[in-house]
Amino acid sequence: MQMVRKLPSEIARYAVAMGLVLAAFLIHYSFRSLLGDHLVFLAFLPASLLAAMFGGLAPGLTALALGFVLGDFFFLPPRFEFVPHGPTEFGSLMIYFFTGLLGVALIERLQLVRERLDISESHKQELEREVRERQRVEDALRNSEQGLRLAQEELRTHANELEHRVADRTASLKESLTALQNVLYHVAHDLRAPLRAMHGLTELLLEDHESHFDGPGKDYAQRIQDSCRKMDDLTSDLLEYGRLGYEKISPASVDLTAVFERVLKALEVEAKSRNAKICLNGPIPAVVCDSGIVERVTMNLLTNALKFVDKGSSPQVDIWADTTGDIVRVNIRDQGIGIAPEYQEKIFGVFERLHDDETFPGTGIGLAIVKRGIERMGGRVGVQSQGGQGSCFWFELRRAP
Amino acid sequence: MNLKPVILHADDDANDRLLVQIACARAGLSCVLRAAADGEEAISYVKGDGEYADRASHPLPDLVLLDLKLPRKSGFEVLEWIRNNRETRDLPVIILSSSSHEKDVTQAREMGASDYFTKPVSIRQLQALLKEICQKWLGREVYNDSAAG
Repeated sequence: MQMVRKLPSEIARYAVAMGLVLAAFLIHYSFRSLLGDHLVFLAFLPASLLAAMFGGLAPGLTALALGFVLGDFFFLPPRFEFVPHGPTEFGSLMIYFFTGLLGVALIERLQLVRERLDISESHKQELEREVRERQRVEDALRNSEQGLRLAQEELRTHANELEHRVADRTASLKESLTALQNVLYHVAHDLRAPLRAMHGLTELLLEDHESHFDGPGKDYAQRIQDSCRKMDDLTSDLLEYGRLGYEKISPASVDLTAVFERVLKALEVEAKSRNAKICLNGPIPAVVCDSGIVERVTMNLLTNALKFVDKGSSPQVDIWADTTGDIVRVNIRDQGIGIAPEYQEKIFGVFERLHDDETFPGTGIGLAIVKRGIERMGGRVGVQSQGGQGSCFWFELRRAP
Repeated sequence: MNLKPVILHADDDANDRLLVQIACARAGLSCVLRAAADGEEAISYVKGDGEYADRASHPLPDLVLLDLKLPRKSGFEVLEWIRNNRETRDLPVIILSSSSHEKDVTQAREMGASDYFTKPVSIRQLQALLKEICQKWLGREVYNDSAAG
């Protein structure tokens, strides 16, 4: 059952209560002759009940009290007096009062129950709203999950595609690298065979058939032989430089002192013929590197130190190491012709030469091998020099643990 | 009866074969030098197959000088055959190759090569090398009494 709701404002509630009582008064006043003197409260009772319904407990009681006063004073005999006449009048006064009180209380009680119902109703609605909201969120989540899955799938497809492309590219790169390695291998074998023949046979001409040559003839044969030697050096240096680019290196703890001793022994004849003074100062710590490459590097650096000196003077080379943290810097200092600052970067490039082949013969690849070799092993290489005052070449490698 | 040690030189390059021959002579090595131009021929010779069946004119070598890059059968295959054959298992096989490639050196050593050298450019170096090889693997009897340097 739909019940009348209480009015929201306090003033309105009392105003309605007053209005209802006034209306009851006017109705009773108009129909007094018809109703007689005993049913004086017939109109006031519903008025206070309605007041309770619209206004709640306090306005209902106010209306009841007002009806009581007005009915008693204006209609209940003796009229215009508050004191009741006899037991009948007193009885109807009491009946009015208690019935009204009961009615007002009952209505108030009903309103309370209703309010509680309202609250639970609103709770229920709130819960429903919440459920709907959750449903919505869940749907959205499910949607986005689906979207995510789609995106992931797309991503996976892309990644796969990319992987395939990378694999293809790597395969073709590997193929061309293998082809290149093959070429290098054949260069090593096939290109050097005729060179050996030219050199060896010219050597034989010069040594066993010397009498057939005049002065220029001997000179030409000698030049052929020198050119063969040079081309052989060039081929082997280029091969080595190429190999350093792709060959796997095997880093290990390498005793550099032993490496230097080995290299110095190999250079012994050369050093003696140049009257060189080479000083290996103190122990050089072990470093992490490839022993073959580091041996070639030190060989190249020491060969240079012996080679690049002023005509007539004898080479003087100092070798020592500085250790900073776990980095070992190996220095090879000569008192040779030095390198002007503007060329110090350049000399590490392939085929970069600063001198003609007559003065200082060489392939122009030695320092490129040094740089590539050291860098392949994770190290650094450089030179300090003032032109004319010798050079100090250094390389840095990680100290062996 | 021929008491000179026999060396089989397997090399496809005629110039290299000639240079080894001259170098042997110049080094004063007293030995019989036999040549094979490819891997198959080298195996046939060692085996004593076909035209090499007559051991009197084609005696079993005391030492093999072997190039790696040979037609038909590579030097590695020849080496493998020699090492897998009971009769030739202990035959000294010296690799004389153009390659100084680490991979070739390691592989040859692993397959049982007795020594590994790269072919020198100069005939004087070749002479010295052949002398060293013969001294080490064939002993003193390889020299003429008039051995010239």
